[in-house]
Amino acid sequence: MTTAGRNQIWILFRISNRTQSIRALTLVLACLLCLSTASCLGRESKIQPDAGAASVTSGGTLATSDPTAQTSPVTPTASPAPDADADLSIPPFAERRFVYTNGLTVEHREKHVPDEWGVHDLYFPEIDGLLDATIEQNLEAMIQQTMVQQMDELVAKLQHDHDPALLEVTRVSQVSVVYNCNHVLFLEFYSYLDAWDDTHPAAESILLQTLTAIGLDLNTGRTLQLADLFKYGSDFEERINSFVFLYLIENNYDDPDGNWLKKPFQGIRSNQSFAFSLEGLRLIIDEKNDEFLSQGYPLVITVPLQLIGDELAIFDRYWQGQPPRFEQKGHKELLANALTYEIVSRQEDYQETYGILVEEGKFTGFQSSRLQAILDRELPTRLDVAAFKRQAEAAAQQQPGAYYGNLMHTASLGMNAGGYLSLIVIDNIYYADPDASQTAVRTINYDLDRDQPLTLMDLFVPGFDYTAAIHQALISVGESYKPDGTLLTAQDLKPLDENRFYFDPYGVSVAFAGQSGESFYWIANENIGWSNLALFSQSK
Amino acid sequence: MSRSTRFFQQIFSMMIVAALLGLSALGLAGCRGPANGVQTTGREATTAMTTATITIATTSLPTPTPTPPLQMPVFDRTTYPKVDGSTATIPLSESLAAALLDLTTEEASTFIHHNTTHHAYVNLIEGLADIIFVTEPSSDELELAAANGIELEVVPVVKEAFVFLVNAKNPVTTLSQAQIRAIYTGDITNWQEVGGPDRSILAYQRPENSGSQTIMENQVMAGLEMAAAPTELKPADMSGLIEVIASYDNSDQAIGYSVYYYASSMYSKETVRFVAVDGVAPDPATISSDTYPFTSAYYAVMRNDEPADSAARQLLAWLLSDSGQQLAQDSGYVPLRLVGP
Repeated sequence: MTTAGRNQIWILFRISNRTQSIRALTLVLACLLCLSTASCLGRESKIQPDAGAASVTSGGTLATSDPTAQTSPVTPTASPAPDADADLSIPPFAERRFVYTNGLTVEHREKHVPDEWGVHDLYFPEIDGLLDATIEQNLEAMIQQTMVQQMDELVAKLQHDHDPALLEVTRVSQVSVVYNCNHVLFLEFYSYLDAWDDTHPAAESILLQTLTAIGLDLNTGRTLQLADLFKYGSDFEERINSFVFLYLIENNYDDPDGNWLKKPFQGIRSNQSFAFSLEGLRLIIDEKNDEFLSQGYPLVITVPLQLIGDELAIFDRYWQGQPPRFEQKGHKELLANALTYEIVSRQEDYQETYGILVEEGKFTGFQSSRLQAILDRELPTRLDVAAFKRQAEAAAQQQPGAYYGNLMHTASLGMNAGGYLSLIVIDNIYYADPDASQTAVRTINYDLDRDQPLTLMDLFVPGFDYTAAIHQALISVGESYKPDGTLLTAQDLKPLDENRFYFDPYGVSVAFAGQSGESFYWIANENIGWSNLALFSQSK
Repeated sequence: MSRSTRFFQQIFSMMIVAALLGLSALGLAGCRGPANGVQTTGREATTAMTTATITIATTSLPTPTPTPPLQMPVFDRTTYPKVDGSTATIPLSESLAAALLDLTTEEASTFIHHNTTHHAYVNLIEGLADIIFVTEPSSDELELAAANGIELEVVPVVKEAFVFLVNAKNPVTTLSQAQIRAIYTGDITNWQEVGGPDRSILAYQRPENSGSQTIMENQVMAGLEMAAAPTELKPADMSGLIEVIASYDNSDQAIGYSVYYYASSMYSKETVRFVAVDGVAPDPATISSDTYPFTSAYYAVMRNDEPADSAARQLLAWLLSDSGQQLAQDSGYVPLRLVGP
């Protein structure tokens, strides 16, 4: 597997029963879909016909459909020279709050290609908006070609030991955009082949999977090597290896009789397969990492962005000094804060007639005493858990088996990125008598850079009539329902509460002033306009 | 009864039986002649009676007779013994197969298949394997063998050690066995009590029933009850260990454990280091010589009715030779005795 000119793949071979196969595939697909959803940002665009074959080599460039280019190896481009970063002004990672998405449109497409083995299902992004039409066309061609080639290799692997003509075969290839910022694009290619003998339903199925990735400098079409992501002279390999070493311990991979590692971690390889996302560096464990035993599914170890942030050049090396490369401007993609939240206690008590769930958490990784005071005040539950339990037990004695109610306290983090924090704290008691039920909702919205609470107004660029825009979106989108289950109408609209709201990277939930309880209405950012959101506008 | 305690009780009786009947690989090897340690040339090697002596001596058995040089056994794929074992001994089996069958690394990897410890024991008992490379048998496995009328021969082939890890910034370099036990029983909770800074100790544990946790309970705690780890120190997926050991905030508070074979990766040095125990740091020399307190071994196990000239016995004899021990060392294991650089 070298001809595709991308990171080498690892063919994962596993024979399992069919149920296990489907579960594993479902899990992997779910993960990939999540990545795809989180990373593919854009607008509708037309479907392009299949382009001619193109290939790309790790460390090389996107080739054209010129047959000569296909047969000639692309000369790997050397990693950045010491002076290559001389003009770069790379801020300390702790001060970096966002990167810009590329001005690309990414639409999900699918094809179902019949052939002698049945149908190959292809799910892939269609990427438009590059001003360099050649790179764009070759990118699309490369995506198509890689999916087919990757599957061909799985079929060849199957044919090595089996006769596919005697088997029912499911083949799926899926491509995900895992990073699309600052003139760099990372794609992951996942393919699986599931084969089974339909005449023997109890027979074990054969599952082959592979995961590969490629990163592209969209200025030139050149593929990125791992070193390209980091500053010149960085000790990134040591950092990564130290992380992985501890990751393996953390996850008990070093169990002497586990089924993960057959020998000590050997370090990342010089040609380590990888992808990059705003979660961090995604190390794809494949056949080159031969100390790992195959698990039957692609193994990815993510090195957190925070751990390598100060060594990264990827945000700046391909961004600075470049002329516009895209038909549209991108928007801010917020980077995760150093601040973290974790559950420190969980009280669970589920009985026949009642249930209790109280989760208490804490934030770490920040210095603000002002924020700490707010969190101390707003995070803990205000419910009398002991009293609820006593009453529930008493009720159970009086009316054995009769449902009494549920008590719940939890906090849900909406935004923890870009220097912004938004969360909602919920205290809820649900009784058998719905009228007696009670819900208390508290929201915390904070600007970590300015060290002060956010109001709704702060989310928008100055001068933008966000109230009108939100009102209009609530009605025009037609997906907002009142607590009684009826659709929100223009007559229901009221001024917005400046302090009761919460938000996430994809939208904002607002409440009407003067209304209490849990009535929030969510509006997607695209319905407000990314450029109107101060959090995401390039004008800020 | 703990896995190790049961094991050592039963290994003692097994070794006595084996020695008396002259059926053990060690005993058989011991009947072959000249003294151990004779230097050989070409494909000859010496048998490993030093190891055999050490093993038997630990169970108060007589020292066997020295042994003659040993020819490297000649196998092909059809005559090679059926090998099984644990995950951690896969490279050992692969290296053996590569050396004795003249296979490439890739070919050896395809040829060798280990099914993890318990399944390997089952396969050995059921005759599906001739020799297995594993940790000590559990009482269940010994009972299974007995139920099938089989006696097991258990011979150490490489050393292993249980090691304790702290952040490289932690000033505490050595702990006594008693201190380690006290930390994990909860009697010592502050690094100041063991010569470190005035900071609480975050004592990480492993998931229940994992290999490392079992070794910790049996070999280190030796029956003492471990303190209940706080939730964040013993989650199902151990998430948080990295943050605590490697983070910039409280990394010097943590202590954890692993086995030397995996933890001796060169990639650990920047982040963590081993704690010396009773003043002895774990390294190949101290582990091989049993100077380091928490040493153990990986074993070759066979059915004791294995014929004297069987392929399995030939394989084991060669593994115990200087050449075999050198191969084990080259494969990343701590040999029974240091045989080379």
